[in-house]
Amino acid sequence: EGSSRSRPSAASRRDAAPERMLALTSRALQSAPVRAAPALSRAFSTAERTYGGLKDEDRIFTNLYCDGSPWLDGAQKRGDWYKTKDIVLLGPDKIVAEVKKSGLRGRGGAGFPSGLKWSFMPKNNTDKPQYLVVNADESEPGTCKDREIMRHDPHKLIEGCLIAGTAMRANAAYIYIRGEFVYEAAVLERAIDEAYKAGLIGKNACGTGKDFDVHVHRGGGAYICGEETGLLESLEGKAGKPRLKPPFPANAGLYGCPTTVTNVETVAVAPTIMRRGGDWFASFGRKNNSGTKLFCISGHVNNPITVEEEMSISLRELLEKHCGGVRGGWDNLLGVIPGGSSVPIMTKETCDDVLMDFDALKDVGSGLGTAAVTVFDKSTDVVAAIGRLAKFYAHESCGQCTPCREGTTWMNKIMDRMVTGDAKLEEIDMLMEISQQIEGHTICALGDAAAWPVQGLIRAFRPAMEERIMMKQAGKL
Amino acid sequence: CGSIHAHRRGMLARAASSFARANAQRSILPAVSRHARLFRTSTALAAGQGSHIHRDSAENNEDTPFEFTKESLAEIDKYLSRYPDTPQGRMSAIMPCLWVVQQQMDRAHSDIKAQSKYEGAFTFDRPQGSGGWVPLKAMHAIAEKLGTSHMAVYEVATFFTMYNRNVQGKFHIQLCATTPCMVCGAYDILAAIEKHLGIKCGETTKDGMFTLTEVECLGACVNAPMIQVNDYFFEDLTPQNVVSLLDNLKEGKPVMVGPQNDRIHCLGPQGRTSLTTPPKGPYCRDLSQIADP
Repeated sequence: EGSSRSRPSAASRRDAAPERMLALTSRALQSAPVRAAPALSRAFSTAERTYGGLKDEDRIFTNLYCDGSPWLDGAQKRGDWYKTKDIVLLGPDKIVAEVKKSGLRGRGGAGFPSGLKWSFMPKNNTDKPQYLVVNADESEPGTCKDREIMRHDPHKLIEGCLIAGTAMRANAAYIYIRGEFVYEAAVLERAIDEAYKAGLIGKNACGTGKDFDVHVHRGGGAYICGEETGLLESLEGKAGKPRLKPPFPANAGLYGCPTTVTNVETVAVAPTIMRRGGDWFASFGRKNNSGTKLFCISGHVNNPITVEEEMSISLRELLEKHCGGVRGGWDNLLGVIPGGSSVPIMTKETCDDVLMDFDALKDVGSGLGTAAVTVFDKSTDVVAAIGRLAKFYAHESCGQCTPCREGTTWMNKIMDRMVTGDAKLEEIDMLMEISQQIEGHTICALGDAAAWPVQGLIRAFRPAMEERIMMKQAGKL
Repeated sequence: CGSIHAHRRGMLARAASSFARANAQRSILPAVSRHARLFRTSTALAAGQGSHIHRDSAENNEDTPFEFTKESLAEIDKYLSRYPDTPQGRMSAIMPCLWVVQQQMDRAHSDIKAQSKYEGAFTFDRPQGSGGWVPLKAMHAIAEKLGTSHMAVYEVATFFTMYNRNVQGKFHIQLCATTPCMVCGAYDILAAIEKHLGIKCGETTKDGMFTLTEVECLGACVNAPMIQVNDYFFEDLTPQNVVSLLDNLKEGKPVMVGPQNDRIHCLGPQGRTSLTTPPKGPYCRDLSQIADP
């Protein structure tokens, strides 16, 4: 009796704790900046030059906004299918060497050096056909660049198929296009018909004596079919559940034959690289991050747009020059996801001086991915934004392997509660642990892709998550 | 013998009653539907339109006839020619065949007066498949045509979200609400549509005109928020213009495909910042100068 009067009871201490911690955290949010990953010198522009300010004459996708006809007549006026026969007759080794010299890295998200990837295809295979498969299953949230190529400049892609196919010693190309791109698939089909009729592909393509077929295969609405082996499974007429690698598609791919799966943009820039030279392409961007890139900027900017710019352009210049700046000014920026939903979100502090290329973004703990930039201003509920991504991955999991199937569902359920604040503070660390149990333990990279946004949220916006929970516990929500 | 069975029945009864007692506090439902509840929340079920399990209905059961039209068969042959002429190659045609079925079942295409704001834009002369659905007997017909099993077709039809295994409304509204669209107001658009049509997400209007579903990223993020209705994308929506769009669709009036405001394709509302000069003509460097690698 006496002791309960002189000391606060356990119950009242428990009730007071959220208030005290809330006060501490609110002060912390106001004063201390969020700790970002240490910025390495490689991430900053060098003293020699800054990147960006790409001139129109250096742009590859000149019909990005459909100023001219997307059909063969317009394409030929813009320089497509020019001297294609001579390029094809250079032979696979010279084409691969040129692509290696250009420093082109895969534009589908992984950024693997393309010349190296194309050189993995067997060179002396005589008993099986070899295939090029173009991954037009553009489903990464934020990404909408391949649709522009396919609906406004389809002949760049078709010619690219022929040239990349030659480099890989392929007999045919399949373009796997997502089912939702109804218009893009229809335009592509008609452009392919035009190319067949003009003798540019098919038997004796471009008069080279080589036969090369290009076919379109429509998907049916599954993000996992953007994963290369999931795509091959779907192309073979099964559910799109990815395969274990090894064996890699270059050895056992479509129908068990040597196959390379490449992104639309990677294939579509190949003809221009051959015509203008690998050195020309490598003159843009920093070392190991060369060329031009289509950036799709969405979210809270004044001018959401798809634009072709030089690699290694600073994020700030990209947003201010092409997107009319962040809504409400640069200081109204909360965070940016720089490469599609699978890469971790960056805080404003990181965004102030980061460059948009593979290495710079990797150095700050994010990634270039597909260069799909989603901008969040201070009005955003960032916990709900990442929570919606957790729901996306749970929905898109193919269900094959336990860490992904169970883990993405579990993370989704916890994130739903993080959004409403119906969680405990220790669950944030539990959520981090769950994500680490998924990452690296799955058949394909969807597990990693699901884990990274959640990890990015915890690393960059943990105080916001804690505040939400404590406000709910304190009865303020 | 009988006494052993009685003994086992007794054991099971005792086990069942203790199980029920243990769960009495948590749930008044018997054990079986506890598992059904788990199944409803599993990822496997979250994908696709509703349950994987086929439920016979008046318009979709094993006695509902389905035949491919001559046009559909010609389409299927066209697709078959794209793949190797082997049992494995023919399996690749399952997905195109499912699209052909949905094209054949489309009843809305001719009533959508789709207009484009762009000169010389491409228009569809026939349905492309997102306005239809796949009956059970159609899956059997595909299996027969391709020489494969019913199960092979079921696996594909249940895996992909765009194959509708139940009748849809005339206009299937698919709203993208993934994060880039969400932060641009996709859930406000959803609320406006739900209020206007008087249905909740996942339901069909009583007159059978509209089905509303929420889907994942549709790949038009710079034109957020947006919806797909049957074969068409309608982008740059506001709670106001989406309502007039749906009214126009219902009344068979012309509808503008793509951005519902002044935007041109993926150009921003403030206009272009690149490609202000006309593209140069064909160019190729001297390829004979390329050295041997």
